[in-house]
Amino acid sequence: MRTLTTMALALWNTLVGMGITIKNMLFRPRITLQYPDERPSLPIGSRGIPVLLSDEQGELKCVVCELCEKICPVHIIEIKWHRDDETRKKVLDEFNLDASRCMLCGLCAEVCPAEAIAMSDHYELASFDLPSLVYDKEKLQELGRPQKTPIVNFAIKTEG
Amino acid sequence: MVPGVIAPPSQWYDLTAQYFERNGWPLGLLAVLTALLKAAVILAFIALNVLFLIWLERKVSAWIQNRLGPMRTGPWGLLQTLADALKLLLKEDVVPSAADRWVFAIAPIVTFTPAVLIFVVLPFSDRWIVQDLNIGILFVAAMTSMVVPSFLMAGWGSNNKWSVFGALRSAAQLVSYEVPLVLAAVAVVLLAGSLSLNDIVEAQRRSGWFILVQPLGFLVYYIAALAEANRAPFDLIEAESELVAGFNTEYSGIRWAIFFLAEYANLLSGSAIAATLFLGGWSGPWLPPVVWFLLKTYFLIFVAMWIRWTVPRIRVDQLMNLGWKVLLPLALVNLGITGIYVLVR
Amino acid sequence: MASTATVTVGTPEAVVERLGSAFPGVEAEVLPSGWIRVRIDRERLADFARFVRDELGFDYLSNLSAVDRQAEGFEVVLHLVSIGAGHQMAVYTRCPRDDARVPSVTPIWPTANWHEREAWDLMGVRFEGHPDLRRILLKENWVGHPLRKDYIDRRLPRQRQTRESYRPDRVNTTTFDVGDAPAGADGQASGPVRRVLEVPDAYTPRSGVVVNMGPQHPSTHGVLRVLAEIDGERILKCEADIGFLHRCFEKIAEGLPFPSVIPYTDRTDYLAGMTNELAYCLAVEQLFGIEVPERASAIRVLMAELQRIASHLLWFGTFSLDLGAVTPFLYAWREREKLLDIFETISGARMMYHYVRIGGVRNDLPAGVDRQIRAFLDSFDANLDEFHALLTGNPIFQARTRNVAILSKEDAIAYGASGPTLRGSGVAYDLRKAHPYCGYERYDFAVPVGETGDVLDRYNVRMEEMRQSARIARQALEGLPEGDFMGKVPRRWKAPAADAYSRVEGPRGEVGVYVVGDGQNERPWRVHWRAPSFVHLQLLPVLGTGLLVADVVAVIGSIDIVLGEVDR
Repeated sequence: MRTLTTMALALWNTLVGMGITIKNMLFRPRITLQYPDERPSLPIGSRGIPVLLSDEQGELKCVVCELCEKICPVHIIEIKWHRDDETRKKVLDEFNLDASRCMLCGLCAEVCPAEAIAMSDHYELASFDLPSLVYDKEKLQELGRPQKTPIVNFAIKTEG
Repeated sequence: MVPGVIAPPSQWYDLTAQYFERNGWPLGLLAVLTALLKAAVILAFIALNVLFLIWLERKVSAWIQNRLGPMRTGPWGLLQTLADALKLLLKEDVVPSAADRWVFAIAPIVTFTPAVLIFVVLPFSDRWIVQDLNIGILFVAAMTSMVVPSFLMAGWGSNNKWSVFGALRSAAQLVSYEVPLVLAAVAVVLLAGSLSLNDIVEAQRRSGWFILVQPLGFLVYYIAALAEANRAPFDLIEAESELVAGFNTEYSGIRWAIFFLAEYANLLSGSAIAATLFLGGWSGPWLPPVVWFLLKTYFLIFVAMWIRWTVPRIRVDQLMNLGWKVLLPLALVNLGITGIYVLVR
Repeated sequence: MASTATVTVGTPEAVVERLGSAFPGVEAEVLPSGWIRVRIDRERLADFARFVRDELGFDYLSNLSAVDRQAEGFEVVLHLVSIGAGHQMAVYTRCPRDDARVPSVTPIWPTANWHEREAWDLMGVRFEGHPDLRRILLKENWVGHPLRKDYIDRRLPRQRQTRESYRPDRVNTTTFDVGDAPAGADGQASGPVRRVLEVPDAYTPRSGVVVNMGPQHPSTHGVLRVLAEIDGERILKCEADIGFLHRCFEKIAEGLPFPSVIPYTDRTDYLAGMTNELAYCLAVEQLFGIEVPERASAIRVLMAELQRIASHLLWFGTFSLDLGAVTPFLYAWREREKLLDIFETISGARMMYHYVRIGGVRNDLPAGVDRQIRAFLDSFDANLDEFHALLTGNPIFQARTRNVAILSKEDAIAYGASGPTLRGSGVAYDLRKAHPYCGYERYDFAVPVGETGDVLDRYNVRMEEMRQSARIARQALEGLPEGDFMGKVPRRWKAPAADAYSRVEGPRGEVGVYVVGDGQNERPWRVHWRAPSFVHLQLLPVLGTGLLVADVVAVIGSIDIVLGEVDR
């Protein structure tokens, strides 16, 4: 008798499980996002690759303090500068950021005193050509140009 | 069936035979050609169905899991299976260097052939049956057992410890679940009074679907058929999470595709036989018989998919337990009750 | 290795007194935090260990670290806990650099086995009396001990592997016999190399076939290699081989300023970033004496509990996937996606949050996220019930998990199990209740405890923990105090010459972080990560022997390991 009740219970529990799956199949909506046609809307503050921000005149805001280079835990930022003879100010020659190794931690954006570097929402970084993933100053400026929001939590949005 | 110009299909064979006689060709040639035509139709039927079934499996599993499934290849992803088959055809043929070449190569074919042969005795409608053997059920049981050596060949031929494991497990599973399967079918044979599948359908047309008088038999048969088809929860042979892929670990490309096709062909034939034995096959009002046959078969296939995506996998010792200590006694009890009933009737 | 767990000694001061009388000359004191600090010479370490376990009830070894003290030699630090009484003791012993030997405590606390192997592997301290001292994270033929301060990597450029190394007779060997490793340029021999698994040469009825699961395997939760000697379907012996994901976290941490280590802590147990960051930040805050404001603590609790739910959901999904049920995996992911969206709104990332900082958190909760969190918590209980109905009640699931791989109470404590693995065996020890941090004593929640210690019990403990975590999260969210999200932190991170050990209840168990400052630099002198998965993987031979092959996967799933924190 006990085996029969065990078998009956087993059958009943299986049917309950099947009820849940059929309920999900018929009544719950499908939650798949058909990327790349349907894209997720990322929240503000979402950290993508760092970009260099420019002011209203289109010049980079970077004051070449090199704090971002020093704090980067994976040492992917390389800055080269020279001092201008007349104004005695530092001039940024090169700002290279190895996007293939960036761990998107945001420390560079946090430490910048001039709000010159911020995390963008650009996350589609894949490339067939590994050297092209070392972004230079021009590329970083170009990525940061379509800035749509002010810096919130050290990040900006460039799309949507 | 344009009257006066084209004769109705029931007369085509006789007309062709007369044409043959007029031209002096042997009638044996006509028989061979007819057989080849039937084989081609069956293979086409299986191929189209398997193509559709794989798509259906992916869609059903996706909807159960709140997903969409294939959507991009063709409308609603209908061409996905075709794309996959094409990809597999183009893959490199990898044979392990230490494998037994001939055994390795023949195993997929030996798996696929019995699965196809079962369709020979299936009654698709009252007039569409390739060969109405009067030992129908016996033939089906024989074909189901033929799959066992093919899995062993696949596992052994791969020369891989995990494959041998999978093959031995599969042999144990298939052999164990044959017994309740056949016993449940024998109960139906007792009720119908004949081994021929067409006669069984005719018997149900007269006295009602056998599932109503044989609910226990249907349950036993269906569970055993799932085990024979290696469907979850009895898919430990291909349990990815345990033995990588069991006996077909070393198979890739079109060789693997044939195993996959055979699995779905088994599912199709198992459901079709279950529909014939217990749900009345092609019998039913209003709709054409073949539509009833397909509806019933597909309903059982859908239930199989539903079960697959609900329950976890059973362990091998529990599987043997279920087969021998639960299903077999149930099948025997069912057979006993049916026997007494037939005797008394 | 049963310990007399019922022995308890009243207060830490009483413990110190008894130590003083039993071991004259030992330096023992009670620190303001309640920890007992003991300095003992290595000659008496074995007797000391036996004494504190048997007489004072310190039955649980939380952590064993080795620290390079340069000219003063090596220091071995043990962190012991008395589960019954709640005492915590830190034991320090030294050995000279040219004679780096220390008695092993594995005979007393079996959990020390892998800790000591790792200390040998990475620091080069020999533990005498260890049953099987060989390398654990690095390859058998590695030369040198990388965590030493004078280690220089002198490897030759790697030679390409040729077809010769894939000859069939070499592929299927069951032993690794590479002889003695050559002495390195720094004069350090790496020691004798042992066989990995002792398999007799001739086939005898008792011996079986040695098979290899992994390192590439769909169910080993990462790059884990399990060597198993099986006889048919039954496992005679099994052992885990780790180190495939070793990324030198502890060495890297020695080269970074204290705050910059936090992104790396995310990547140890990558499924529980918040609790990892919390563990590290608590240790550094202890070291520097930094106070964390109440609002920041409450936010940390909220994040930790949401993280616990997310991690357990993932565990639930993968566990059911291991057992063959694919659907609960997708359902768990559906719920987890809501949590990841919440995390992204708050911290900016879905997995590598870098949110909990030394002194508080990076930013306050953005406006509107509390609505998201409430929406998730409101629907969560019903979803959990659905999971239970789908999986837990299923007869096949019950058959595969009931009475499988039973872990007894004594074994659990002796082998250093923590978290749901420990509580499944009936030991009601939760760090959030026993040694509360971040204000956990203010929240009202229950700690689920199992009875038999089988796979089903550990499963049920985790499922119930999810419900309780939702309770805590709701309390934290509703009762969020006003205030700052970051306390006062120094501008320059010059570390004091001290050390600190923090213990946090992570989803997988006790996460322990041992941080040592050297008094001069802005970088840690030593960071040791006590990972719960690392300790739990030692249970595999204990649990796995006698199981069927199919159960190994269920057992690894029930222990819930993440290779990121096993290998670091």
